[in-house]
Amino acid sequence: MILRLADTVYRGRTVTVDGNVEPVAVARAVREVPVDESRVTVRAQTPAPVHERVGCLHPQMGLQTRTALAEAGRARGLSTRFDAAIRELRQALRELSAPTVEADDQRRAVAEASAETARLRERVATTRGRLAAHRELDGDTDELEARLESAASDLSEAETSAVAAEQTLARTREKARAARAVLDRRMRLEDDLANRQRQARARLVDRLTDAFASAVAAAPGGPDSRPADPFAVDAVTAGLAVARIADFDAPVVLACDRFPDADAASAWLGAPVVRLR
Amino acid sequence: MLLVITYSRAARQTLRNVCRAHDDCVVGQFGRVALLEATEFGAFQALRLREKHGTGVQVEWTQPFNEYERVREGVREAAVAYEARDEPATPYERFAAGRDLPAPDRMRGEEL
Repeated sequence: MILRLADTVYRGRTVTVDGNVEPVAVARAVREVPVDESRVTVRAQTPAPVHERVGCLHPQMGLQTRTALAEAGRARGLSTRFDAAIRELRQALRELSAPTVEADDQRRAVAEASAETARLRERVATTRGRLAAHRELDGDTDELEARLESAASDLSEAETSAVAAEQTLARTREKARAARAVLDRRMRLEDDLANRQRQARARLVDRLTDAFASAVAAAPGGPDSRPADPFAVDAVTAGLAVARIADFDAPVVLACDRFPDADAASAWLGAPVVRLR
Repeated sequence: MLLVITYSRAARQTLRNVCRAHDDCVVGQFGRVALLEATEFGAFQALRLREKHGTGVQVEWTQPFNEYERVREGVREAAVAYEARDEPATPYERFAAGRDLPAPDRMRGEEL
């Protein structure tokens, strides 16, 4: 690997870095394509997905051990009888669109049109009432009649727009219904996929539990003998064991005091190592 | 009440979280569906879900169903009569044919 940190370049299968750098930043640099302004860059083999989980081992880390172990199994090329179904479901999901239908504007238009109609209806009623009162008093009604006519015409126009807005919203609702039928199918496929993935994971973990328990027992700084529950150990020990089981050639970043030097760590893990001091 | 139906795993998860965190505004939760109180707070939660998940969240306004207000007598009586039938295997269409009960197709064509 070639690791650049600020102005210093480190080369080799194992490197020990003294500089002040975040362990996770180095692990990220292992996984990501370097960009010019990165403070730390690493050129090395492309890591397997399990690197996301055990590519950086430090005392503050958390680890979903079973998931990581299953991914280590994948990095070893293990397969399960659920894999074909998983591939098919993924393919089906790729081919199924995720339609969206926006109805916000239409709902707002309906609400506004209905408020406007109510307002104008009220105005027509008030004007009509005043007109009736004026007639009884034999007053001049010309102006009120004109006002009533204008209000009634406004109302009729508003009612027409309200009906049109309702129809537009109803059409959008129909579209949303069709879109949700597709989303419904997607969700079933996704649920199915998640179930298969869970089954595959459980199968891989089953197959690797024994090897994992041995690795845990052999890990420096771990339990002295094979623990009854190998999944109940601290995250660094579990991470070391998973990384040892996984087969990948991307550097593991170590910010923990488990090995005397980077070479010893690399020999134990079977992977290149960046040791941070 | 507000009826909230979710159409994606992510939306369903958010709905579950909302129901767990704010069960005071939840009338009932059924998997990917929940009934929320018709309060501003219930609406706030429903709108929040829709804001986050868009088309993946459907929100409907529900009302109690009063059949004496909404449904004509013939349909109500048909439901009672059919549930009191002697032959459990008789489909409604056949059951209605010999009696003075509304045919299913006719009911399908009548909106409430």
